[in-house]
Amino acid sequence: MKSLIKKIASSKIGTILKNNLNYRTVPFNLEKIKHSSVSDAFLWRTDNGFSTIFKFTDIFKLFFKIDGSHAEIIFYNKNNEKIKKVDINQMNYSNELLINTKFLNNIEDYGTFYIYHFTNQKIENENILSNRCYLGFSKGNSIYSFVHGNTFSRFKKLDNQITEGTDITNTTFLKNQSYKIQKYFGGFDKHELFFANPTSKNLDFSIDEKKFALKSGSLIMIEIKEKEKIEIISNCLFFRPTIFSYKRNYFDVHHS
Amino acid sequence: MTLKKGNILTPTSAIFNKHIDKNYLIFRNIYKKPIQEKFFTYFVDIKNKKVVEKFEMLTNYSNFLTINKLLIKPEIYIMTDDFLGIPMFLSESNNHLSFEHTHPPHTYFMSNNKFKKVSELKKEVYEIIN
Repeated sequence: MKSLIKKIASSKIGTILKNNLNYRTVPFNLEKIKHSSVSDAFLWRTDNGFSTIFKFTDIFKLFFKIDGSHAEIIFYNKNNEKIKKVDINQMNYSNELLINTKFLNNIEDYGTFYIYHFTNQKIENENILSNRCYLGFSKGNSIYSFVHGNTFSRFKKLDNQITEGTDITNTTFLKNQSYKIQKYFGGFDKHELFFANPTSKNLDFSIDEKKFALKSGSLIMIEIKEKEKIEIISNCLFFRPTIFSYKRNYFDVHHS
Repeated sequence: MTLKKGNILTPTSAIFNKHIDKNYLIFRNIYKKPIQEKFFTYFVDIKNKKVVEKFEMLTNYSNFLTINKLLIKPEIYIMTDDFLGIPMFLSESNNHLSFEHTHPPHTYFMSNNKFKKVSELKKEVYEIIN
């Protein structure tokens, strides 16, 4: 009887029930991403004098001793429309890519990008690779301030470079997921919260009483002033923003 | 506080700003025994398999190292010998700071073999420092 309950609880229906009842929640669906390269929804921004530097590891070279692997980086605008794809065929252990207005054909805006790693050599089926990477943001002449990746978002199978999969992060029917950011927001001029939708579904969320909707794969920036605490209520089990906080000529960027 | 001993492995070039002069590694160790014991942290060229620099550190202490920018290269990794902690990277230029930690290497895998793959890599680097 115990094992039957355990089996039901870990089934797809059991997971949906648990997540919607907010009991022993399961934030990620790892079953669908076996033998995959998984990417966070990385933020790029070239608006308001910002440039972005992206630092990533050649996972195959570092962990599998495989030379000649390649990475694919796909850029989207904030409305989830593809704007650029870059193939990187020669990689070092650590690599970097500068994302500025010149790189993005004079686009001054913000959006997301995703990185996938591939090799021609055979890799055991069990492997799920996830390049969490690091992002540096510079405004004007400031040094790049770094932040690491935050949310599993999309994947490509290691033997299928065509299809970009999503929905690693689970959602609920009800807006019953609460997340309080562990930061005191007082004492700053303003904050910018960047939320990327890691799913193929539309997300509803609210910050205090203000409601927002975010379409599949899209990115939204929400400006916040004069708040000390921030609580996010959503229908997504892992929905956390990248935060820029400003004071005079300085800014801080971090994940939440 | 950590009960375990081990080796931290992390790249130098992931977060440091190689174009500026002031880069610092802050390594905080909190070990269960209330003692200050010396241990070494190595900067290892994993491509050419050699140690390029080593620093003495202390347990139960926030170790603060000034990093020469010649050490900020894609093939240079930091490995601690025997003690764990959180490596934090601080860069400073024109009164602006960047401060962030790196991911532990097992976060590159979401599969069950993550610790096996990381252990293989750490063993390989450990052989270089010994």
